[in-house]
Amino acid sequence: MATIHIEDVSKNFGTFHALKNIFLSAEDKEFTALLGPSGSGKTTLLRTVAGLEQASSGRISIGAMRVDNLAPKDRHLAMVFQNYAVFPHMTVADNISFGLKTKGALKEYIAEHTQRTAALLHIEDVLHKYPNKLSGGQRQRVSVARALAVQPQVLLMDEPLSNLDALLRLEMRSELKALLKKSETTTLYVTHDQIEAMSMADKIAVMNNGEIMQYGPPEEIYFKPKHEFVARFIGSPPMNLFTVQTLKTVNKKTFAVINNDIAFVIEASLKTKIQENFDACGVLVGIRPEQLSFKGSASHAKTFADASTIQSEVLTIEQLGSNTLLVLKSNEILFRVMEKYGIKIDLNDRVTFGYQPNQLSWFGKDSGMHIEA
Amino acid sequence: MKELNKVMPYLLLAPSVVFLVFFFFSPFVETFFIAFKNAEGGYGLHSFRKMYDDLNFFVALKNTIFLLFAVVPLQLVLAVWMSLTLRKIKKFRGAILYIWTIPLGISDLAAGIIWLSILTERGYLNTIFLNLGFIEKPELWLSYEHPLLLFAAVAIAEIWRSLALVLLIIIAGLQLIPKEYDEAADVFGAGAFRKLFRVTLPLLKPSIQSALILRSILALEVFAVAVAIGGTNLPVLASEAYNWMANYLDYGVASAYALVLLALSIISTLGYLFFLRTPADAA
Ligand SMILES: Nc1ncnc2c1ncn2[C@@H]1O[C@H](COP(=O)(O)OP(=O)(O)O)[C@@H](O)[C@H]1O
Ligand SMILES: [Mg+2]
Repeated sequence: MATIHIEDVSKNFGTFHALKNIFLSAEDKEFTALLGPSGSGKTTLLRTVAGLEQASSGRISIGAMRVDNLAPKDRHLAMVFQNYAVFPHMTVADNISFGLKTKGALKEYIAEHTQRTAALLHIEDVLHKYPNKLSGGQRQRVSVARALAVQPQVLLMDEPLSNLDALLRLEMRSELKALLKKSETTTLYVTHDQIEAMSMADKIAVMNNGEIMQYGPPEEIYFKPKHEFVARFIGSPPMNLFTVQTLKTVNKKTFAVINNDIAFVIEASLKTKIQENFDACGVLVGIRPEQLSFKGSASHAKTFADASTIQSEVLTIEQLGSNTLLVLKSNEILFRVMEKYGIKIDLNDRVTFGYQPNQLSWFGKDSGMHIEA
Repeated sequence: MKELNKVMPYLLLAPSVVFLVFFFFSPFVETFFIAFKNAEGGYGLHSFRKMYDDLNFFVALKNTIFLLFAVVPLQLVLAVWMSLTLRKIKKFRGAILYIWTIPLGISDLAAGIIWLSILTERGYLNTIFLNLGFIEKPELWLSYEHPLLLFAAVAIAEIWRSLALVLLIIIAGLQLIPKEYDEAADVFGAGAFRKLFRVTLPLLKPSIQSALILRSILALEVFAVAVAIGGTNLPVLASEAYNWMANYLDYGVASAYALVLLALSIISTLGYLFFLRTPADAA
C-alpha cells in the first residue's frame, strides 16, 4: 500500500517560487503524469518527493509515513533519471543490482532477481557489458531495470523517454505502460509530452509556473479544461479560443458574439454566470478543432436564425494522413478545424461549420478560470 | 593554401619542440652519458659503484621513499575529504578554497623556512610551549637526536606545502562528475560509506590517478624543504645529487643519483597506471 500525499508543498529557490501550494494525492498503484511546459516545476516536484530537494513548506507522505524530513534512502522509492544516470563504472548487472545490494539482500536472491528484471526489459544479453557499450535505448532500459529491481512501492520517473528517438519512444511507451501495470507500483511520471501523459496516465496533473492548473483523469483534462491554460496547452492542435465581443439575445436565445460571422449560442443553464463574468472582466469561449463539423459552403450571410453554426473562409489546408487540418479566417480571427481525410473544400471557399453548444468551454478572461453552471 | 594548412600545425608546434630538445631532452641524454662515463673516458658502472658505496645512499633512498609513503597517501585522503566537505558547504566556499590553496603560491624553499621558523630552537613552537609551561627550556627539536621528529617535521611541511595541488586536481575531478550519480546512489539506498567507495571514488579514479602520478614524482624530488628543515641530518636522493655535484664536484655520481630518481618516478607512474586502470571496455 503506497499512496502519495502532497499537501500544500511550496519550494523556493532564493526569491524564486518554483512550487506554489501543491496538492496531489495519488492512490495506491495509480499512474500520475506531471505534465507541463519546460520550467513549470515538474522536476522540482519530483525531486522534492524523492528527497533530493527539501520542500520550503508543506507535507509529503508515502503510505502512512510522513517523509518530508527523511533522507532519500529512507523513503523506499526508486527513480529513473532523465539522463539515465546509469553508473558508468559498473556493468549492467551491477547497476541493476545496486539497490538490492544496499538493502543487504541475499546473494542468490540478487543474482536471480537481477536476471529476472533484465529479462523483463530484454537486456539479459548485455548484463556483463559496461554502459558506454550500449545504445541510448539500452541504457534507458538499464535505468528502468535498476529502478524496478528494488520492487519499489513508489516509482519516480523524470522524462524517461525524452532522449529516445521517435520510433523507440513509441515502442518503449507501450512496453513501459505494461511493465508498470504488472509491477503494481505507484508511479509519478514527469513529461512535457501530452500524448505520453494521455496514453499512459490514470491521472494527469497539468503544471504551469509552479502551480497545478488541473488534476484529474485524461478525459477530464482534455474535454473539461478547468483553466484557459489547460485548454491552450492540451490537444494538438490546441483548443480554439475566441474573445467574446458582446452578448446578444435573439428569439429568447443568447449568443456570444465574436464578429459578424461567428456567434456561439449559450446554454440556458450558463446564461447568468456568463453574463456576470462578461460584465466583470470579459469572457473567452473555446471549442476543440475536431468538435467543429463541416456543414457545406455558406450560401448566405449568417443570421442568428442558424444557431449552432459559424461561417468563415478557408485560409490553408494541410493533409495530415488520415486527417485534414484547416486554418479558417473570419475578419482577423483565425481558428483551426480538424476534419476526416477526403473533405471537399478549396482554398478561399466560404464555409459553414456546426458545433454542439454543450461542447463549448467558457472561461473568465482575466482569471482564466472555467465558468461552471 | 592546402599545402600551408598541412604544414601549419607542425610550424606552430616547432617552437615548443625546439625548446624541449634544448632544455629537456639534451640535458637528459647528457646526464645519461655522464652517469655511465668512467674517469678514463670509457663507459661503465663506475659512478653507480661509487654511489652504492656512499654511506648516505641507502639513508637517502630510505628517507625519500618513506617520505613518499608518508606524504602522498595522507595528502590524497586529506584532499578527498576536504573537497567532499567543501562541496557540502554553501557559505564562504570560495574564501575557504582560497585559503586552502595559498601554499600553492609559496616556493618550496620558503615553505621550508616557514616551518623552520616554527620548529627551530627560538621558534614559535618553543615560545608557546615555554609560556604554557610544557617545557623548562627551549628544546632542540630539529637535531639528529630526534630523527623521527625531524622526519615528521619534513613530512608535515611537505604535506602542507603541496596539499593544494592534490586538492585542486580532486576538486576539478569532482566537478566533472554529474550530480545525478550521487543522487542515484542516495535514492537507491546507499549510505555514506558505500556511496564513497562504490560511486564517488571509482568515478573519481582518473583524477586520483593524475594526482598520484604528479604528486609522487614531485615527492620523490623533495629537496628544498628537507634541506631547510633537516640540513644534513635528513639526506634525500635529490639533496645527495646536489651534494655530489656542488660539494664533491663529481658529476658522474650526481647523475647516477638523478637516474635513480628517474627510475623511481617511472616505476611509481607505471604502478599507478596499472593499478588504477579503467577496465578496457568501461573506458
Ligand atoms: N536548484 C535550483 N536553483 C534555482 N532555480 C532552480 C533550481 N532548480 C530549478 N530551478 C528553477 O525552477 C523552475 C522549475 O524547474 P524544473 O522543475 O526543472 O522545471 P521542469 O522540470 O518543469 O522543466 C525553473 O525556472 C528552474 O530554473
Ligand atoms: Mg524537468
